[in-house]
Amino acid sequence: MKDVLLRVDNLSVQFKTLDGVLTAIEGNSFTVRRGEVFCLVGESGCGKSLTSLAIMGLIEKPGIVKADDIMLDGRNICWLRESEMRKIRGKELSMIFQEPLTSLNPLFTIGNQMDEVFRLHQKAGKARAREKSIEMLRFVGIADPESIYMRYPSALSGGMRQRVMIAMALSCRPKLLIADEPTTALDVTIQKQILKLMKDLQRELDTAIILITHDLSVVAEMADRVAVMYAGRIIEQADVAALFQKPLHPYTEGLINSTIKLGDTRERLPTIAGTVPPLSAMPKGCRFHPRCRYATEICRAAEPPIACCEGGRTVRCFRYVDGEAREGGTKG
Amino acid sequence: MKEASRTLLAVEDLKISFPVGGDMLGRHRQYVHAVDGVSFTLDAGETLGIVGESGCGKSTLGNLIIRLLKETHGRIVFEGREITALTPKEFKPYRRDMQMVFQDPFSSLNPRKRARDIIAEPYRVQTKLSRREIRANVEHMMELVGLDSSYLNRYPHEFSGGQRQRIGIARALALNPKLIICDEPVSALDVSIQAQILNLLKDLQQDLGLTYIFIAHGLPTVQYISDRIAVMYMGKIVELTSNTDLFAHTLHPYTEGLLSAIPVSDPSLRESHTGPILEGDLPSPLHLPAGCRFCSRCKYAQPICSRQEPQMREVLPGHFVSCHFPLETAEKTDASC
Repeated sequence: MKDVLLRVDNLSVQFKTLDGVLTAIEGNSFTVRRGEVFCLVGESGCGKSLTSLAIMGLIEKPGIVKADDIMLDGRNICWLRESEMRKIRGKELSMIFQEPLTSLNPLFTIGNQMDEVFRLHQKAGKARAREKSIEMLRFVGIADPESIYMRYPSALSGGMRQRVMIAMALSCRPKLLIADEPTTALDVTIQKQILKLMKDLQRELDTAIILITHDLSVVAEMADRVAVMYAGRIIEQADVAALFQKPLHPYTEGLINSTIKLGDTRERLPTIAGTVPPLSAMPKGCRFHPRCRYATEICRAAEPPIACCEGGRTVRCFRYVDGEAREGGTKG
Repeated sequence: MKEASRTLLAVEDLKISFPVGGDMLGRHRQYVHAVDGVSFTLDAGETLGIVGESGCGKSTLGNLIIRLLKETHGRIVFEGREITALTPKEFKPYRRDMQMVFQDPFSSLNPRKRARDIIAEPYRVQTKLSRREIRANVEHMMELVGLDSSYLNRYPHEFSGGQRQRIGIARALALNPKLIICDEPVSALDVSIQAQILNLLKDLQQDLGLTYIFIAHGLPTVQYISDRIAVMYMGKIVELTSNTDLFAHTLHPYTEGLLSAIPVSDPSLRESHTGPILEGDLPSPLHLPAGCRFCSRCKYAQPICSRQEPQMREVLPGHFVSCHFPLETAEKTDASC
């Protein structure tokens, strides 16, 4: 297991609220290998963004992060002090967000904000930082980096801003880049450009990427391995090809089936009945059972353990506890 | 499925421009031509999809048709009557025939009203029904869109996104309209909920004989629900044709770019799916390129494209495109470029 870059063990995030302690994510473990694209996919509120914030150490009170370990490149970053975490953030571990306009400071020029990374982490002087920033802007495919360097974020288009964010995040050649819905706010043609850029840069720099998205087609396009989240739990982990070929968990199956493909001729779309339960009213047993068409007595009574299946896949469902589906086929 | 085609709506050379900037006297004022010469017809019972990137004018077009905005030029003919020539008072009876479903079910429902009042409002404004009749109608509408009538007294925040969108649909359907304009009705919803709403829209169309204009930015969704599709770019329709033709015989380079930008639906297709990537950004609507609006991003552009604006023409039967060198025909005449 020498190529493991990040190992997250038994991660939970809770929030203290007036209604008591709400558990937003619970007991999730996964590993990210060096240089791979690891996708966290799920619907809104499933805890995929919280997972990334927890890794970055960005969850503040009233949030409580609990984990056995968060090992980044052999170093446990779970219990680091804020001052030490600051040295890692932006250098070994960096993040890009969904809405580039709100994550860039509108009062400073692009150059000013980009220089900061070099001046902070590499102790570069003013001229050197400028040189490096412009080089990074060119690196992410901005045609006219000198003029973009002087501009304010408001003068750039959405796609351009996201390129700047990527340039900034990759400035110190981090080992791990967390991208939280990086293309959701962008148009399809710009999304394509940004996804291609991320893939190219990842190959060139050998950076591992945790890509967070709700869009299965982005997963199909980008991922090496995938973790599917539902209501705070990772319910399935697999290689991307295996996942799309044969989804094991009923929720994954439902998600893949209800996605519209180009040239879809199905008269009706298969749906997942019902809606995601709120955190304050999680059903007993398996969290998915009220919406699951395979649910049985045991699903209502107890939470399923993690079952290991062929090809290093894991799934949290009673149907696979003995290594195979217990009853009925997955589908026709 | 469709009965003899009957034109419900005709839009002719519709334009709207918004003034931007300028001083008190209107000097240095510039105009954004958000919708710039759009024409199409729509048959009863049909679904027309309008697709394009943000800022292409698709939502503005929807607002123009439903008369939330006043056009600066052009005509809209609804059931043979030119509604653009009507005064607001004369137009009021037509409002019940055209309704809208909005994108964001969070901001399009009044948070201070109960579900029952939201759905009842169209009846109160447009009909003289008694309270009891309204109540019965509202309950019927709730049932129609798949909501339990025990939810009638709830406020919008007590519903999930999908349920809110159902309320929005119930409100739009209340007066038994002929045309419904759906402006990105599923974009704000999760995948599993999107499928539920799309199924609902399809069922309602079949049961009630509705005509839809379905505005969205996602081609797979538009393609799934539409009979015909109009592709918009910078205020103009660049290609208009049947659902199947748009994919089988793509004529406009922009449509080609949009299609190849759609992420693959299956990881095994990754290698084989290598269409041309559309480079560059949308031009500023204040400084549109001369000639064809798309020529700054078009890899097939010729000198004439930056001089003369192409006109919309019917290249194949029922297949309209505004391009000097439509793809399939261009390959035959000029393969060298």
